[in-house]
Amino acid sequence: MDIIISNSVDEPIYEQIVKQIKNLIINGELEEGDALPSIRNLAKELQISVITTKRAYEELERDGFINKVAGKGTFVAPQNQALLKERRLKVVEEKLAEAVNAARIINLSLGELQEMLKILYEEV
Amino acid sequence: MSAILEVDNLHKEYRDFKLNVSFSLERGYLMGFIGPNGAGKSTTIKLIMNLLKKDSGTIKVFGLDNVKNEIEIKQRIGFVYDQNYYYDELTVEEMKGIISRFYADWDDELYRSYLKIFDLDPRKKIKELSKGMQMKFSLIMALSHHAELIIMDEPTSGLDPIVRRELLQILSEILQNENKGILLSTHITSDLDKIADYITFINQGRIVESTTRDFLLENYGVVRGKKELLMQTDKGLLIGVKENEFGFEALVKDKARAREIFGDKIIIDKPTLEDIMYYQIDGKVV
Amino acid sequence: MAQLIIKDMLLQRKRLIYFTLFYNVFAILILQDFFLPYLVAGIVVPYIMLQTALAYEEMNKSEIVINSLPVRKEKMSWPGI
Repeated sequence: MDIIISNSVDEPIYEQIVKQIKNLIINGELEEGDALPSIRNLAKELQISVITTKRAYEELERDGFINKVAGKGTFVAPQNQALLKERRLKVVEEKLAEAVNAARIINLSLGELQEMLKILYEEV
Repeated sequence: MSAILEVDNLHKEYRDFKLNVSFSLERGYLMGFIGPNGAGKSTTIKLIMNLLKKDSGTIKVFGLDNVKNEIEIKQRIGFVYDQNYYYDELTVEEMKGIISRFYADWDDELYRSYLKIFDLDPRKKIKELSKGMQMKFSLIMALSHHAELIIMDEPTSGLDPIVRRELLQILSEILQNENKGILLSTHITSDLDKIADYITFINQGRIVESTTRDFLLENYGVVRGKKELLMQTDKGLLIGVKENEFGFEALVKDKARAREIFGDKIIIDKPTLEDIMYYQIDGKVV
Repeated sequence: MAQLIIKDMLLQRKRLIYFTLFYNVFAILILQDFFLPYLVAGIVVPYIMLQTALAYEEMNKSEIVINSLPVRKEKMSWPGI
């Protein structure tokens, strides 16, 4: 599990952590039942305050992404599958919107864009 | 669960210096105690350790009064000071022989494991050790009796940046145990930028603030802009204003507010703990 | 209290050994009397040791460490406790 934080970015560190873990869950890299590092371990490894990691986990728990099990640790919560699918669809939608914008800038037609999509789909 | 350290209205007066502080620390956290030289950090720590007698106020460690239950408390405290105050003619092993006798919970196996981790030769005389190794020795003495509260008074003064980072790593490890607490006083704030959970800032005998490091980093900022902007500011917003030929710089405690007032005309940077200390010490508030 | 005395003695171990050797030689060879030197030593040696111990304390500022250890202060001035 990779979590990379930046000190020089404006976004508070706990938010960066929340975002990254959310993404890992949405992408399927973290699955239901997977164990997350303890708040102290995470703080030590990232060299940040345990208050920060605690805050990140609390927000993730509030939003239903993770569960804290007393005495055992913190785990990825069972995700509402419909909600998860919707979130994943949104990610695809966002990326397609980016592609459409990029295409518009160089005046690529819809047909040409669709052709590109077809080729990529078969390649990757 | 009571705090591991509670200082309430602690008063100590000297002819030209007055100390009046209150703050507390919960278990499981590291509190950085920062301030310029002479601010009162060492005095406060000496008062906690009962090396100095307080004039009034209460100090509670592990929920117990620090004077009435002095010995009981000291059994569970590990201390690291800024200099080697041990008998430097003795070897590490000999010094340990003296110190370990005082602690009921002395764990010799733990001591040996720390010797290995720090690569310290117990047969060496204390005066033969480098400054960094002497500090590590102090730390080993502080840790080998399962202390719950670790008090450090400028432990990194005179040490090179590499040893300082090593120390922080070790402190990180210690904090994996959420029952322990660490009070670290220093004027080298860069040490705390990576590890402190709470920051208590003391200046001229008084607490300027005591809060989480996150709070400081998220709300404070270093503002830079043209000098003319100094006319249009909210009173009290800009702290420690410094003007130079080309503009001004200052600290703000509420950077959202600063952004509201000045919009794009200023640059707001993330403050380091040193900035937070620096701008508030001179105190020109606009 | 015992701990503090032991500490003082540990510090001066080497001196004590050299001194004893030297003194024995002195007593036997030079004074040619067996008992007197030891009587005198009984008074002089503890005195010297005490002085050196105090000198060490002054030099080292080790009160800071000693006072930070779990030691009751009233106990320290009463011998035998």
